[in-house]
Amino acid sequence: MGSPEQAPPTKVKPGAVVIGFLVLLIGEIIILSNAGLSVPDIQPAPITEHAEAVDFLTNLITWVVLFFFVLTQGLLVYFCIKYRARDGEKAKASHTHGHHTLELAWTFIPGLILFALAVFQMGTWGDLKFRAEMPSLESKDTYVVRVLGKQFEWHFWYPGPDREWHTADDVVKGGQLVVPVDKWVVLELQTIDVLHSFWLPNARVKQDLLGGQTIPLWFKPYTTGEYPIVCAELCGEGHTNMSARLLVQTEDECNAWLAKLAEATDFEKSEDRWWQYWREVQTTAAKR
Amino acid sequence: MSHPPTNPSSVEHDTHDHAQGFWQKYVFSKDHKTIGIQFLFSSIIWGVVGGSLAMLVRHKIAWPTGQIPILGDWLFGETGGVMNEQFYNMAFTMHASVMIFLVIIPVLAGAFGNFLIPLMIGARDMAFPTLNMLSYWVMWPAFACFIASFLVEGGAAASGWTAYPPLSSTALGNGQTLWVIGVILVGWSSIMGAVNYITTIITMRAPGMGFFRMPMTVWALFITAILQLLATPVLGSAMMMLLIERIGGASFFTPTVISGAEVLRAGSEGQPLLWQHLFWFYSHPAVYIMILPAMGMVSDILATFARKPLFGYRPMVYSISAIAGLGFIVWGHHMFQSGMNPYLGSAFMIGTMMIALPSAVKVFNWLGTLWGGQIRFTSAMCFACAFVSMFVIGGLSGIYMAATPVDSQIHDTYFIVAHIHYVLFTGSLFGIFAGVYYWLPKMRGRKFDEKLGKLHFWLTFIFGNGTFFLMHIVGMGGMQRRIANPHMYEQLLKWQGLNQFMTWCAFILFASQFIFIFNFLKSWMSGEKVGKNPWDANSMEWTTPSPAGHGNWPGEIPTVYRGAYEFASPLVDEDFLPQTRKLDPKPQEG
Repeated sequence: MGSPEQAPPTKVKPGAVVIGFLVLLIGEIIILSNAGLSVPDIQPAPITEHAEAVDFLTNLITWVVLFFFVLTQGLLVYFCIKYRARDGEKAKASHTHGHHTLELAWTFIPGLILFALAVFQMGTWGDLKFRAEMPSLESKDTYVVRVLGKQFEWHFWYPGPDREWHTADDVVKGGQLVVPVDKWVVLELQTIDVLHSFWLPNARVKQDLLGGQTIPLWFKPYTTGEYPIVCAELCGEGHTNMSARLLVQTEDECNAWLAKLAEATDFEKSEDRWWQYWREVQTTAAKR
Repeated sequence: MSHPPTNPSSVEHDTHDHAQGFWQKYVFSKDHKTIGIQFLFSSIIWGVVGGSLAMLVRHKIAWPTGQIPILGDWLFGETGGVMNEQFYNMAFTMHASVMIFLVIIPVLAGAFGNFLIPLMIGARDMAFPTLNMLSYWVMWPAFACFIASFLVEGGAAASGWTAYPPLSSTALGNGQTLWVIGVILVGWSSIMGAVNYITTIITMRAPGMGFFRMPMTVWALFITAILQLLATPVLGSAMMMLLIERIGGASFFTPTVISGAEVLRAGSEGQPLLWQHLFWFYSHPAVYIMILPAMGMVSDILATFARKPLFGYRPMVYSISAIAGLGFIVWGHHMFQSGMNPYLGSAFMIGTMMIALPSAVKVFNWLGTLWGGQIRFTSAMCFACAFVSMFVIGGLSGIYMAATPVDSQIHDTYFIVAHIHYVLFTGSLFGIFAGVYYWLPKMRGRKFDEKLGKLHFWLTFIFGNGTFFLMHIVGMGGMQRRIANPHMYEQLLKWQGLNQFMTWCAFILFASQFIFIFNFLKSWMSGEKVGKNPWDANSMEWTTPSPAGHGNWPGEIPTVYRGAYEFASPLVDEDFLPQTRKLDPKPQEG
C-alpha cells in the first residue's frame, strides 16, 4: 500500500476532539442522572439493596450506551443525507485512507470507558455471588432454606424451629417460599433432575441449579409482600409452568407459619417417591 | 511489505472447457462458483423452514391458547389446533438450529466463501475441489436429520439449540439423537470448508496480491476459516460425547437424575458444566463466524458505493483479528449464572468488555468511510448502511450482558433474544442481503430489480425493528425466554400487548422475505444483463466476465498492482482504479 496519508475533509484538532467528546459524555450522564430517567422503571420493583445497586449499574450502562447510540446513529444518518450522490453530479469523493489521531482516539476512549465500566461492576458482582460475601450460616440472623428444583415444581425445605436439617420439625413445602423481612436469607439450591434457574426478578438475582452440587444464593428483602419466583432455564415440557411465590413477612408471621406447618406435617414419613429417592442420594453423598 | 506470491496453479489450470455432463456441471460440481451458488439456493430453502418455525413460536407467545390458522388442524388435530408446549419447545429449538447451522453459517462461509475467495484473490479454483464438493453434500444429510427428527416418535429436539444436559442427554425418543448427528455433519462441512479456504488464500493468490492488498471480504473469510478450523472440532467432540451418552449410556455430563419414579444414572458424577464449557468454547467463536464475513462484505460494499477508500484498512484487518483472538477467551460470559466460579465470571467480564473495543473501531471506521463520500444508494448499499446501524444496537446491548451483575437480572430473558437477533438477523442477515444484491451480477450476469429490492429493504428494516426492538423492553421488564405461555405469569400480563404487536411485525417481516425470493428468482431468470463491472468496483472479481467461466479468467490471471480501495484516486480521471489496472509510471506515483 504505502499511499500517503491525506488530509480528511475537515481539519481535526485531536485535543479538541478528545476533550469535547469527554465533556459531552460526562455532561450527558450528569443531566440524565439528575433528570430521573431510569431504565429500571420498566423493571419489577426492587426489594433489596442489592437490587438497587444492580439498577444503578443498569442505569449507568444505559447512559453510556445512549450517548454512543445517538452519536453513531446521528453521524450515520447525517452522512447518508449529506454525502449522497446527487443526480448529474460528477464530483469525486474525498480520497482519504484514514486519520491516525482520530483512529487512536476512538480506540482508546471507548477502551477506557469499557474498562472503567467493567471495574465498576466488580463490587456488586462480588456482593451477589462471591462466597466470601455470603452471610454466615451459623448466625442466628441468617435464615436458611434449601430450594429443590424438580421438573416442574419448586420445593422449599425449611429446617424448622430447631434450625437443624433432617429432624422431625423439618418442613417441605411446594410452591411457596416464606422468608422474614430485613434478615439475610440464604438459599441452598439443589436440583434433583435437569438444570433449572432460580430467579427472583424483584431481587435481581438469578442462579442456575446444577445436579450434584449445592449452590448458595443470598438476599435481604427490605419490604414485605408477595413476589414471583421463576424458572429461567429451559427444563422440559412443563417449563412454562414452573413457578412459585415468594412471601416476605414479618419475622413473627414467618415463624408462626413455620411452626404451624411443622406440626401439621410429618417430614420423615412423606410418601412422595422423589423425596425418598432424594433422601437416599443425600445420605449416600453424606457418607462419602 | 507485499511479496507477490508465486502461483503456479493459476497458469497450469487454464481454461480447459472440457465437456461436462449435466450431473457433473450442476449437481456434483467441483467448481467453486457452482458450489457457492448451491449453498445459496439450499440455504434459502432451509431459511424458509427456519422462518416458518419462528412464525409458530411467535404465534404461540402472542396467543398461547389460540388455534394455529390454516395448519392448526393438520398439525395439532388432537388439541383442537392449539400448539402444545412440547411442540413449542421443539419449534424454537429447531428454529435456532436451522437458522444457525443451516442458514447463516452455510451462506456466509459456504456460499460467499466459496464463490468469492478464488474470484477475489485471483485463483482458478479452490485448492481442494473434491473436499469442497463434499462440504456441500454433507449439508443435505444434516438437513434430512433435522427434518426427520420431527417425524420420529417423541418429536424433534426440544432442549434448546444449546442442548444443555441433563435435559438433552435424558430426553426420550430419537429426535435429540438425530439433532446431534445433524450438527456433527454440519461441523464436518465447516471443517472441510475451512481447510480449503485457508490453503487457497495462503497459496493461490494472484501475482501481486499481497496479504495487505486483499479486500476485507477475503480477510474476514480467512479469519473466519481459522476460527472454524480451531473451534469446530471442540463442538464435534462435545457432540460425540453427547451421542455416546445418548446411545451408549455413558455419563460425561449427566449426574444422578431422579425422574418421576426412577433414578437415572445412579452414582454418576457427570458434570453438566463440562458441556457448557465445551459448547460455548465453540459457540461463542461461532457468533463471530456468523458476523465477521458479513462485516467484511459490508466494508467492501460501503467503500464501493461511497466511492471512497475504506477508512483505516489496516486497523480494520487488525480489529477483525482482535475480535477473532479475543473471541476465544470470552465464552464464559454465557455462563455467568451457571454455577461457574464467580471469580472466573469477573475475568470473563473484562475480556468481554474488551471485545467491544475492536467492534467499536470497526463502526467508527465504517462511519469514516461514508464521511465525504459520494454515496450511491443501491439496495446493497441500503442493507450495508442498515447493517452498521443495527450492529451498533446489537453491540451496545451486549454491554449490558457483559456486566455480570446486570446479567444476573437479564440473563435468560427476552433481552438476550433481542440481542442475538440484532446481531444475527439485522446484522448477519442484512450483510447477507447486501452481499446477494451486490454479487448476483457476478453469479449470474444479471442485476436485481432495484425497485423490489428497495421495497424489500424498507419492509425488512421497519418490521425487523418492530419485531426485535421491543424485546429489549419486555426482557428488562422481567419476561423470561423460552416460555410457551406468558399468561401463566401475572407480572407478564402487561407485556402481552407488546408481545402481540411483535408477533404481527414478525408475520409481516416473514412475508416480506418472499419479495426477496421472488425478486431473486425473477432476476436470476430475466434480470437486466450486466457487463464485467456494473458497480465500477476495484476488486479482482470484476475483471472477469459475468458470470465467470470455468477457470475464472478466460486468459491469464491479471496481475495486482494495488489495494482494492483506490476510489476517487487523483491519479486517474475515473473515480475508481481497479487493483489490476497498470498505470504508466509517473513521477508523482508513490
